[in-house]
Amino acid sequence: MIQIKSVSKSYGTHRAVSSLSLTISPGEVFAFLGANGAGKTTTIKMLVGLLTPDAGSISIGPHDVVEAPRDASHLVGYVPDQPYVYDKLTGHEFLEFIAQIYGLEPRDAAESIARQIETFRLESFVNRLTETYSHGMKQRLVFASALVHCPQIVVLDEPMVGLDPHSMRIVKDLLRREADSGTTIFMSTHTLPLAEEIADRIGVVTSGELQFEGSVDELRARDRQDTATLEQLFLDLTAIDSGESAAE
Amino acid sequence: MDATYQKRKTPAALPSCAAEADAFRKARHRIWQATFRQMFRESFLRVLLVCLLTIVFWGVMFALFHEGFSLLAAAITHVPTKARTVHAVYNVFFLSLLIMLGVSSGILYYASIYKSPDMPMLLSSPARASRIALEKFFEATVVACWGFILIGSPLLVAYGTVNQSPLAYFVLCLPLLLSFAVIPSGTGALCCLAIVTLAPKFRRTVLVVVVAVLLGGTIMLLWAMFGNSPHQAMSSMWLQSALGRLQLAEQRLLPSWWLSTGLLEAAHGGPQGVLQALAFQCVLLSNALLMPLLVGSVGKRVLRSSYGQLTNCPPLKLPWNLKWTDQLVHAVFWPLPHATRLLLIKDLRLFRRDPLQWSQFLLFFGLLSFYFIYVRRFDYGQQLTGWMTAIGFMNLAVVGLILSTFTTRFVFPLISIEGRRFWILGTSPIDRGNILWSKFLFATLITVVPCCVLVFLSDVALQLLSRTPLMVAVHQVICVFLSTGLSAIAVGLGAKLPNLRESSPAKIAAGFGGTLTLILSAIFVLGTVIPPAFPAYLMYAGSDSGWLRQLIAEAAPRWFAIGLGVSFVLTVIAVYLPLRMGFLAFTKLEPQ
Repeated sequence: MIQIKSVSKSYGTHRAVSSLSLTISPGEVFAFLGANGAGKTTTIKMLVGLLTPDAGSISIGPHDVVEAPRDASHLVGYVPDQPYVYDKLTGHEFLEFIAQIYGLEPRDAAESIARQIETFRLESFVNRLTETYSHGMKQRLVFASALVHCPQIVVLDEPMVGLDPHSMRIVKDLLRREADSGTTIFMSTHTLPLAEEIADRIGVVTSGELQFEGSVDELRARDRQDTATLEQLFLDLTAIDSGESAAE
Repeated sequence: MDATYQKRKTPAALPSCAAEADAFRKARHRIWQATFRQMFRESFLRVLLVCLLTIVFWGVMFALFHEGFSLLAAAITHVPTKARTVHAVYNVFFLSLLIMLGVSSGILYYASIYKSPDMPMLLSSPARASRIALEKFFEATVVACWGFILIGSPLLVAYGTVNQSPLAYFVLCLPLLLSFAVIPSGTGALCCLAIVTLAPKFRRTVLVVVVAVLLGGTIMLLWAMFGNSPHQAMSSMWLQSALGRLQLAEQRLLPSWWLSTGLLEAAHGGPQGVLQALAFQCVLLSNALLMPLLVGSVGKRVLRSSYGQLTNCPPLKLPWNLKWTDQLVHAVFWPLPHATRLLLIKDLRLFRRDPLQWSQFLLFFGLLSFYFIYVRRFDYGQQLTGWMTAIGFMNLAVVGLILSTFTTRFVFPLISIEGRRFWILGTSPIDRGNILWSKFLFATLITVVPCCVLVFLSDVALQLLSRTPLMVAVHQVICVFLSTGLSAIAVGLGAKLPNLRESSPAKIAAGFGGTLTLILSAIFVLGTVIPPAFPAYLMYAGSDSGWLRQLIAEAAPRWFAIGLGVSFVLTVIAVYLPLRMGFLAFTKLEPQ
């Protein structure tokens, strides 16, 4: 479970996130939507402990992210918008490293790595140095590394960038399956059809403030547009926040 | 939900400190193994060249130190004065290294913590902040210290050899050096953490102030030693006076004093001295071991918060408005096509906005300027015109060789980097030839001015302007040859052997093409400087004495003219061949 309580964050004089409050329950897929610079990545960075909120608190399960960063991040699998893997490690070695720092026993690590390799179809290149990988291959490896320790919460920042249609299908099915088994999924994305397809709830943020929180159907009902797509609803909602800012 | 899945969902316990350290150690070991394997497989020529140059460098340093200590032993027969002199030399040498190591480790630590792309991944994992801080400290220490060992070891071995020190001295050298090196490295890392935590917005200002203070201090020290001494340089009175001033470096609380005293005790003190040296080794080692503890402990408290604070800082603005330089380029190069001028301006903007490029340029040429100005302090006899001419050419070769490392490191990768952004230029209505011409012009422009200025400075310092103005003019002409030729080699080979897969200029320069450029550039520099240098030396040295020298001196002007002609022909070849190859290859280049 993720609990964000009245969180604010500023960069100098620019307010990136303003009094954001959200609760995402176990087994739920939450899609966090917003224009560039709306505050999505800042929120995610605070969620995974890379940034400290100026005000408010964030809890991952029972742990406060600022007070107990290790315990909190132990429960999280994080897929960043710009995946990083060590160039001079093979994919397999990288997965082993991640499994070790998350505390997996060697046998459990080997089992889990084998499962992720199979899930993300990494067999053909997992033993090559990652510097030879394409962006999509790296993205699949980062997905595997985020899930290798079977996290209770998965946080994804623009997960579909660079993935081919097959991999996108794998990821969609996997996220749904993980959520059905009790994992909390928090995902920021610009791919609105993805959000519409797999998200249980969406949150729309503009200029750091949450404009809407609920299901797509609730948004349709609120705006009285029963047949509108999420894209139409989103564009209506964020019409005034299409400019870029320094937040992301 | 099945039982297996339920079991998987129970999180594993957080790893112990030892298990975490083991994970990092294993990853580091694998990364180094892969790096070395790849280096030997793909850049064998470069590895060979680096090894050879390292051996040559070590050998030259050893020979210089050996000669220096032998001279000292012969010149100073008074044993206490000799001991005091050596101690003073050691103190100053290791104090300088202490400061340089501290600053460089701090900068390296900053880069590896706050600029490294793996930090978000590590900080969002359950890895301990203290472990991350320690791993990065280890990396920075290794990178910062190898140069220190390379410079320090020939000095110590030379001293031991000249003084026929016991085996214990040679055995203790390396442990003493290594223990010492960790202390400034740790201090640099701690200062880096403190600055970013306490004053993240002013980190650059703090660095600039520290470097300025250190540079100012060094210049003042050298000035105090050599600048205003009433005695003739290198005389015994001058030595006594200089030793008195060098006592500033003899601070007993500094690790540099522990190291120099420990080394000299091991070299001279007999069995008792070895015990004393071991005591100093223990002091250094205990302080060295304290450093990782301090870095880990401070890192645990401030690493995450300081990383977040730095992210909070607004991006740095462009420091100066230098748009007038763009207009100047337009005005100066008005005969060139408009597109070529635009490309030239673009490259100049990238150069001045990349601190790595201009700072390295400034550092190299700043140090050389300092050396050339300093050379002036010595009083040369009137009869030494031949030697002064030879030294002038030697300085010219040094400037050329340093310039060749600059063109290899920064000019050679230009085309490869352009190749990665080829969709910009490749799809624009600009002739590809213009792109290459603009690179060549850019490289020549930024190298020719400092090269000419430096060599002129050297000639003035060597009093060549008053002795033989002809040589000063010839040096300037050769400077133009060198800048043009080196730029053409780097641009031409850069276009002929591009590496379009790599985005880092440093890695591009480290590949086969970069190595070949470096070797050819060095050959070109020596081939251009030596042919006129040798007859020029004979021309001036020959008039001093001896009928054979007189005979040579009569023929030397003709040889000198031929040598200059050889330099010119070599420059034409160095410009034409690589650029032609580059043009042909570049017109066929396809974006990847």
